[in-house]
Amino acid sequence: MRIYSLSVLSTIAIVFAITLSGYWLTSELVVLTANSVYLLGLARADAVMVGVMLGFIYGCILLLWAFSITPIKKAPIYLLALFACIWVVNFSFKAWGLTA
Amino acid sequence: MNRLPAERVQVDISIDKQIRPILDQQASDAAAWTILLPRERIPFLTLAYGKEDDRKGQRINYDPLTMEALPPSYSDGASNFFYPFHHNLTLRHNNIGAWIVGVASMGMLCLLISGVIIHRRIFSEFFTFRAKAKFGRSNLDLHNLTGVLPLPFYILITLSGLMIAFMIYFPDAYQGLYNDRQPQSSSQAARVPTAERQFLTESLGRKRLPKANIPAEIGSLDAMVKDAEKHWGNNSVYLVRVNYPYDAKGNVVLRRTNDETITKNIDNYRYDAPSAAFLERYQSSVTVNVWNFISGLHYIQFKHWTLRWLYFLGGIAGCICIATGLFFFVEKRWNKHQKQKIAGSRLVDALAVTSVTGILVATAMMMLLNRLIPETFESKAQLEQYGFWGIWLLMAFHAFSRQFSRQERISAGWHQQLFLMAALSFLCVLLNWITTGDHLIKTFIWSPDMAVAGVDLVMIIMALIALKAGLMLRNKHDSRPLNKLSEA
Repeated sequence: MRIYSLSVLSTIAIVFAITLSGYWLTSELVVLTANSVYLLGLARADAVMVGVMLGFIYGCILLLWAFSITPIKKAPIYLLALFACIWVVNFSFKAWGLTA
Repeated sequence: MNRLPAERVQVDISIDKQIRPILDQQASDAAAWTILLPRERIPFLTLAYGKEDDRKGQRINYDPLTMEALPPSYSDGASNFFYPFHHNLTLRHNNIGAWIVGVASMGMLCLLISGVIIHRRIFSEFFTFRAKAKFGRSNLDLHNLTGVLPLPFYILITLSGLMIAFMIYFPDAYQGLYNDRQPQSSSQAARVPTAERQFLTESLGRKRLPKANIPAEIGSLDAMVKDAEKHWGNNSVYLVRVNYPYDAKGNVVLRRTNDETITKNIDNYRYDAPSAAFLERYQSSVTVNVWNFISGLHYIQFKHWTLRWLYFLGGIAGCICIATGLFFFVEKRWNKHQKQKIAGSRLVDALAVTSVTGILVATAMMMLLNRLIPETFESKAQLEQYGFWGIWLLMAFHAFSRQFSRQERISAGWHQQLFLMAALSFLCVLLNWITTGDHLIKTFIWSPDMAVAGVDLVMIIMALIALKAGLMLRNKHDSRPLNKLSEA
């Protein structure tokens, strides 16, 4: 009796890749939200709080979206591409001295 | 554990006359004193003190009536074992446990939301439970019922649990907005606040003021409490922290209880220790209060027994939902996996037995050890925890061994572990009676102590349910040989 199959292993690998890239993207979205609301005039601590509270909702929506992509193996690529875009925006915020 | 009746909360304690002499004698050179006044949940007085690197290193509980030190509790019990276990599995190294719990919680949140989307008949499932139908049907009905009815509770408890630990999951958020300031010299390094410290100061009011290193007296702590309670209401202060006692820049922070509000209250008043003069008041912003409200919904510190019981029932419904869901998962795949000679459903079933009934047996065993190991035994906490982990591991071995020698449709592991759990639960109640003299008639009628009575009663109810479920599962199992099952 087999206790694993290649398809199961590849599914686990894809789930792992989606989770990790989804987390990175969510983290960047949290920072983007915090930076944006800070620039709009909210206090620094409040901006962080708004970012993290929305962060878990972002994470949930992103994961639901990623797991609905067909073929699913493309999902980590989409997530990483989006992560790269948001990272550039956040980096620009910092480089231009727009953060606190 | 220290078991004092809750009426001691009503005792009026003078901090200056009754508590300060103790602290002066034991900890006049401490970096901080923490005084936790008795309240409904913790009816004894706690004094904690320590040096700068461990401000609450020493912790002693006192009877607020006699002001005598209570014997130290060598058991971690629920507060120091089950509570951290639920949010970090007691794996504290690099927050590994918190990350495992976080990933599981995020998965659960996605399941709850996707579950709502795919269920077309979600409202009819509110009212459908065919208890007398075939096992598979009634099991699925129960799964749907316990999955749908407390759905808002599941979403609330999962999301709030994640939000409470946001500093572990999203460190980039505050590090992005609070840049770590670089110290100009090595002597400055200790004084430069990190991004985390700056954020905690601004958002949660956790400020640390420097000391002067000039000796000074301490003003009246009772007067400070009285002043704060003028604004917060009588008996609202539960924590008094004296930072740098007997220093000219010593300060006193007062915090209020959460008994009357859902929102976790982190507001504080700060006074100058030598002069007892008011220094500042910290009040959370509206945004931070949203987080406080969500955290408060998770912590359930408010005094409302009906709501607390609803939380308890919601948690039990969640356990039923998971257990019946795992049954359904295995049932659905069993024949297919047998034909393909894949061990998937066997593995899932063994893991289900371990995580549903195995953990209950391990918990009952820990409670049993709590009664069996003497209160004065210094390694009691370690032994209780070794017992918990050891029995859980043993239950895992048992579940897997039943799976791989299994000839029945429903693994014998389920009913065997349920019978064991029922026996251990009854034994816990019995041993509590023998070792403390507390039995249900006494704790319910003669001298009511609802905390003890509640645990005993729930243990008996759980034992009866386990017994009934075990008998049902034993009778329902299909004893046809496996090869016949796979042909079915």
